Amino acid sequence: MSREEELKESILDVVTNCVKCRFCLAACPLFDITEGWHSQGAAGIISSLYTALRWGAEVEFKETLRNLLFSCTTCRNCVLACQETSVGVDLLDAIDKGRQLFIEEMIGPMPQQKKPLEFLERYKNPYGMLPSERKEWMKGLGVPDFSGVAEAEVLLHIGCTAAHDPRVANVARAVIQLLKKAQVTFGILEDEACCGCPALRLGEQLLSEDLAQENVNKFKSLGVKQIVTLSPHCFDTFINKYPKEEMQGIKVQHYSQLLRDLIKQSRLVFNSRVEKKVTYQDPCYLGRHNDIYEAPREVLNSIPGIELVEFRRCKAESLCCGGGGGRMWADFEAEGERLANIRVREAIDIGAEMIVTACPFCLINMEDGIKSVGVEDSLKVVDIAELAQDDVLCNAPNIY
Amino acid sequence: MVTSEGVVSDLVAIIGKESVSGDIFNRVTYGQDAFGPDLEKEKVPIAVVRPESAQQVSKLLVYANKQKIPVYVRGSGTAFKGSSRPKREGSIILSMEKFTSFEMHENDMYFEVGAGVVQLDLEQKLAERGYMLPLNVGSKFSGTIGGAVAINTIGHMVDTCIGKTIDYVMGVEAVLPTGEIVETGTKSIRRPAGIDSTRFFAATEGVFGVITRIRMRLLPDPKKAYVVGFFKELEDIARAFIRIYEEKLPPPLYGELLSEEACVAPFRLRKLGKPKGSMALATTIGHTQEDADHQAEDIARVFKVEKAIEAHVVTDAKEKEALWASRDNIMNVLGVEEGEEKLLLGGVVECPVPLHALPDLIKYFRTGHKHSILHEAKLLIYGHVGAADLHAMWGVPASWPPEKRRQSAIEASQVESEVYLKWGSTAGEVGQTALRMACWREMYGEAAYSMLLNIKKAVDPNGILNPGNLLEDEGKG
Repeated sequence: MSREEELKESILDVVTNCVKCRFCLAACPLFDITEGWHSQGAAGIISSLYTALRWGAEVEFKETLRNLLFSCTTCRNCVLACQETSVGVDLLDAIDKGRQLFIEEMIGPMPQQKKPLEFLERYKNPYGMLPSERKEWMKGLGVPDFSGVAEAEVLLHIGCTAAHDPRVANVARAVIQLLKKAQVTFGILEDEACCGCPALRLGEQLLSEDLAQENVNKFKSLGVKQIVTLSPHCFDTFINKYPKEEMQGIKVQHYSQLLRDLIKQSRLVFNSRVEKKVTYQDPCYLGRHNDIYEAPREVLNSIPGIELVEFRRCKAESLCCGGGGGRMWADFEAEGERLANIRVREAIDIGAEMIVTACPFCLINMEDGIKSVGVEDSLKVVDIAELAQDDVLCNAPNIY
Repeated sequence: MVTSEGVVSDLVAIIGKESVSGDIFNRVTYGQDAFGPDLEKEKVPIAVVRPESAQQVSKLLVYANKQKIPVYVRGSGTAFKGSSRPKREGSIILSMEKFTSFEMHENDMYFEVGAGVVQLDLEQKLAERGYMLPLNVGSKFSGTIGGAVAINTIGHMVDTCIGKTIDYVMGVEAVLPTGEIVETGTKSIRRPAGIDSTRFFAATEGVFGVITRIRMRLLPDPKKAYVVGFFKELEDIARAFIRIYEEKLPPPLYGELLSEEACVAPFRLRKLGKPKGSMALATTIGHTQEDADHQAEDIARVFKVEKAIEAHVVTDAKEKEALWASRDNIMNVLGVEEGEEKLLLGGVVECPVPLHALPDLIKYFRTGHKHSILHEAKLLIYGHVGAADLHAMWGVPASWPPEKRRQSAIEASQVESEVYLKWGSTAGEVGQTALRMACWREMYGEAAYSMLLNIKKAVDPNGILNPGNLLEDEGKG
């Protein structure tokens, strides 16, 4: 059986379970920003894919289907809704496989997403950074190379977005300062390569597996025992998508979990107060994908003076920022609004002065959202690490 | 003859581009109903429309009459018996999803709501204000209030405790099949005696018109208490609820059962461990908490009299949430352990029976019927035992060929008809048209069926509104 036939069979197998109850529609964030036609989200997407495959018509309707498939934010809210209230169809599995099929058939991804994939293959990052450019952000910080650190506790995986985006680079600096303060022996990989998440999400299975193997080989050769990631996307990829046998013996954490541990061990103590009313944006890839809701909140609640107010839709019901599933590299014509803008308005409604994030995509999208809605004077966005690092607070942009 | 493209173009001219879709995937998605088989290619509608006002619905129906185009009205497509599914080629799906208005008239004890409001949203809006929505349907996460009123379903609630949905409907705004807009009913909590034209639309399943707005009486949220019981034998649960009526106790708001087999997957999902037996749940209501608690204690006593292994009043909020969620989210029952073969929905039936026939109904589901294909499937029994209405669901292995799975659904439907005819009952939740119409005709006879068709023909002379749901092609009239 060809790879295409395998994928089609697998998709049909998943979607056959769907009873078309549409309980998932209310959970899908796309309905907040599209015209709300039922084909545009959740079960509508997989139903469209299923119909096209059943009729042998995926090429005939390729553009419409491609736009539907690649618009999904992969937030996983539909999967949880189906699990809780219906038969438990893994809609995201069908969408992932649909994307892989469209890559095989050279119909996908979206035109704007092709360049990041080419960059990933060529430069090992989706932004087209040369190896020298990738290290620009850490000049002068004295960040140790993991291979040179004797008995390093932690390999800090910076991630491509922090290396590329100056705003997110600030988060990396904050985390580094915190690890130094807590006297954690750590290092980074000077030749760090992408975890492969963008390839995975866009359906480029082969590229993602190549990157995974390359990284795993590196981890093993360096005797890595613990990886701490800045991005929930890298975290999820290492934990759930890398070959489990090969990652055995390597503990993977998101940095919020490490901070929580350091606070509990009294290796990190906060002395100064931050008198701010903040709300926390649960990233999809920490929360719904990996059930991590409390560690970031424990860190926030450890900072003296912080008043944490929750979004009405929080934790498992958190509204996606719109950045997942490869959407950081594409715009969708069918969307008249941005999810981050909606989230910013929700933050204003609950009286928050700050949105606190734990994900580079959430950070970028919320920053854009604040500017778009025009509330720069009353609302800021800041990463947990920045908030925790009181020394960094004075220097970080956009913080009160 | 207007082409499909011509129809879409005409519809855009009538209600605007944003409200019309000729996109193939929308046409399939909206034409597909819950639990139904895949929509046949030839039955894919020409277009989907989402009007926002009764005036727009009116214009659409006038157009459809002129062009003789069938129109199928859709809330969420969760009627589970095929009523919103196109039965003719070249149809238009009229989705009510944009009818989302909500107005409270608390001083006069009613509210008005657009037919497209999702039941869960309405329930939450009312709860915020201290009122209860007098229905709780399993599909409330997507089901609309318009659909619930059209079918007159209260879902899981017990009719003898709270009445039916129609008892709370004071009036509707509706559009006739020929396009006239009508208002019915009253704004007084004293509802009409005699002919109430509300009843031409509420509880008539979209046969005589399209409901666009509903006026409903406000019902203050009562105090509640909760009881759970586990039983070795399912029939003992039935006997317990029969005893509740025999002792003239107030019927509970909810009286539910879930067979031990049906408890397994939902309990596993919610980390409740192995079920202790088949489960009975009851929710009592009272003006005071004391009253609700007293009734709950009575029911716990009755459970124990009828051999419950364990029965108690539930006071822990987490326990209550987990147990009731296990029953409410019934599709969870098809879950399997990792490594086990997946189960798909084969057939599901809804069977009210006379109260004392409940134990016999359980036996009929298990061994009484002669449909061998269903005996090969996994039988899961659950339902509204307090309302003398049980469901049977047959889970079939995923390895069954689609035709065999489809056959199991057909034969399940036959079991349903057999039950109604055997015990003189009829569907209490899902309505009477479409897949249930042949049985209705057999139960109530040709005279009643002809009367139905004649009334339909009088109000819908071109037969454009939901055609096929009365099996008109097979009937006389």
